Amino acid sequence: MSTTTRLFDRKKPPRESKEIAAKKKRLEFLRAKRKAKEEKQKADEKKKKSVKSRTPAKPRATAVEPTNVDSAANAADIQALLSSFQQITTTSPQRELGSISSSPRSDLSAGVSTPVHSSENAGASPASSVRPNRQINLGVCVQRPIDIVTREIPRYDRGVQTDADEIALRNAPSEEELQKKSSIEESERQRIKALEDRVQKAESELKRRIEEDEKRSERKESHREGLSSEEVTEVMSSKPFADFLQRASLHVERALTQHDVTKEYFPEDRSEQTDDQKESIVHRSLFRDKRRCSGRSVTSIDWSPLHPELFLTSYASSTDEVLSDSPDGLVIIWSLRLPSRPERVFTCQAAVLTAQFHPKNAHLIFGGTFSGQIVIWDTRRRDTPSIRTRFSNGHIHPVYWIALISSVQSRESLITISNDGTLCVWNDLLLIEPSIRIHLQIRRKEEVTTPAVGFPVRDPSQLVLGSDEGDLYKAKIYDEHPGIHATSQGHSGPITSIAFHPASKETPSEVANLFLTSSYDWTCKLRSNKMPTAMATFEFARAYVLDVKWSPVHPAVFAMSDASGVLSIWNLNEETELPVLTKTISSDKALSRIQWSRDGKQIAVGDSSGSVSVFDINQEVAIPGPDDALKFYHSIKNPKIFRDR
Amino acid sequence: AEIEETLKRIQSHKGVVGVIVINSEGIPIKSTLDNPSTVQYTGLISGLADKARSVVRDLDPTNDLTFLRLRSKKHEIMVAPDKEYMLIVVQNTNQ
Repeated sequence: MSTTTRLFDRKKPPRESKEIAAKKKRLEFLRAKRKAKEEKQKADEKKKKSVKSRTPAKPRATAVEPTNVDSAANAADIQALLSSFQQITTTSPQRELGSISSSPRSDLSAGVSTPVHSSENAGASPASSVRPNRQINLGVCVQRPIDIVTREIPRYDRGVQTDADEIALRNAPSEEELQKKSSIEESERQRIKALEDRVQKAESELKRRIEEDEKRSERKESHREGLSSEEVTEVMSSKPFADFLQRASLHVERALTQHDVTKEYFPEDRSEQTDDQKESIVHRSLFRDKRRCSGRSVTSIDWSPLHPELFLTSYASSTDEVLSDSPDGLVIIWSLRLPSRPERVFTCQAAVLTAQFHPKNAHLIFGGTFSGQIVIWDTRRRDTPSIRTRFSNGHIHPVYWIALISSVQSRESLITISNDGTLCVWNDLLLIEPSIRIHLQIRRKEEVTTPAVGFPVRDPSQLVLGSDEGDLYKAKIYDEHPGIHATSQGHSGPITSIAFHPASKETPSEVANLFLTSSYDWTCKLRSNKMPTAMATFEFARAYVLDVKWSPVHPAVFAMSDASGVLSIWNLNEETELPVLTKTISSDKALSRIQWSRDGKQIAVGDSSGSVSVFDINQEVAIPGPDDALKFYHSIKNPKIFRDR
Repeated sequence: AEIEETLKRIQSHKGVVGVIVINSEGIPIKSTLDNPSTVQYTGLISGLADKARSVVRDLDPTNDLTFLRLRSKKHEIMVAPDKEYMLIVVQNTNQ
């Protein structure tokens, strides 16, 4: 570290300083000597003059100046010094010394010349006698190397210099002219600038137009060329293309099926229309997706609470062929405006036995599956369920019935019943854990298989279950002893459907407790929750009655479908023995599910082959008149109108 | 396969004369018409759809064209435009 600090503030390295110090010493010594010498020279000159006058000077060595008296002693010293000097100085000191004859230091030169001669003289004839008169002054010359800077000889490029200068000189204009010129030049420059700008703009415009033309021509060329087949297949297999085509084709198909807005009706056509209207069940459209739901019986239909043209259909697992790649669970949303193609397709792993929209949130779809899982689809998201129940705390047997109830505290709970008699109440729609879990058992401790369940609209805690043996069970959920507490003989065959009256707030309680049951015994019965026996039996069907549904708008109207493909509409205000309207929809397919639209004007009928048909019901029948409700209530209060069988 | 099926279904719809799918440069990707007709329809209709879109956007820059239907005495042309592709369907009006 000490060395580094030393380096920064170092003085010259010792060796050099020594040399220089030695030089300086010698110089000083020599200067002192010279001074002494000069003085002595002066003194000697005086003596010499006197001496010269006495003796004839030798012509030769006149140049030689008087030397020092103590030359002999000094000569050796000086010779040594000189030799050392010669060593230090450049190689040809003598020559330089000679050439520096014109140097200002005349003494030096004089002093220089003398020792040369003196040395020569001394070397040539050491024994030569030095004339006592002649005094050889030995002087010590200080050799100082001088760098001679070569003088720069200025060179002129004659051609350029002289021409330009000369011409400029010749044509030198006056000041006024100069000013004028400058102003003119300025304006010229501005004009030029403007022109240049315009030219640039025009050029850029031109370029742009050329590019556009080129593009267009490219397009035209490519039109002619088209895309190669590889490019076409590549594009068509890309995902964005598939998404685009799905969207665009949906729009186009909807547009294709819309009826002609500019079509003109001729009067003859109008009469045809009135004929049509006489037929009260008019087939509107058929919804079938051949690829997906052929051979799969319709298990449930529900109309969307938000969009009156949408309804969902759930299908049973396929019976025709085992489609290994398509999942068992299938729920399709159809739009009335587009019968040929589903709006949305939802799938899940197990067959969906019952499905419905959430009554308030139309984007949620609930489903009960064959595996016992309850699934919820979110229509805003993907096509697979977003929520599923777990087998550990849910059902493990097929769930045939689910119902969403909004309780008084505006909490929603979901009641699900599976085929082994397990009833679960789920309080939150995340379906993590049921809050209540009841095992419905009859006193005989047999499991209750319940494909059909219903409850009065006003009292969801009282359930009525229809069993596969034809018995009806009444169960209570929120009770000290939840479970089945009453049984009654219902039908002589399995009960397929229970439909409670869609009572509104004005309906009397007698009507609100009415429910219809349909069964495999070809009959449909009207019962009241309060009474143990049936009020009325409707024996019209010639096959299993598979579904019965009250009309949502007309209190006295209900629809019935049977396995022989006959749909019948009943109006209890008109006729209690026979339906008011019937229609044979298909001759070979069973109508497994029916569902009224929410406005009561249409009915969707699903059959065992997977097709759903929507029918318009004659509005005279479907829509209630002002006194139909009262009439019905009155008749219910006096049940003797119904001939009980 | 689903793409092919969709296009087939549209093509087999009552009264449909032709179905053309073009990309954003106006090059037909798939068409059920013959080549000269395809080229003609493509060139003319893509220009019309662009003009229609510019009209919609000029009237309201936040708006965009979603569907275009052109009805004539003999045909109806339905255009479903998109960012990258366009679907054109030509249908007879007299059914």
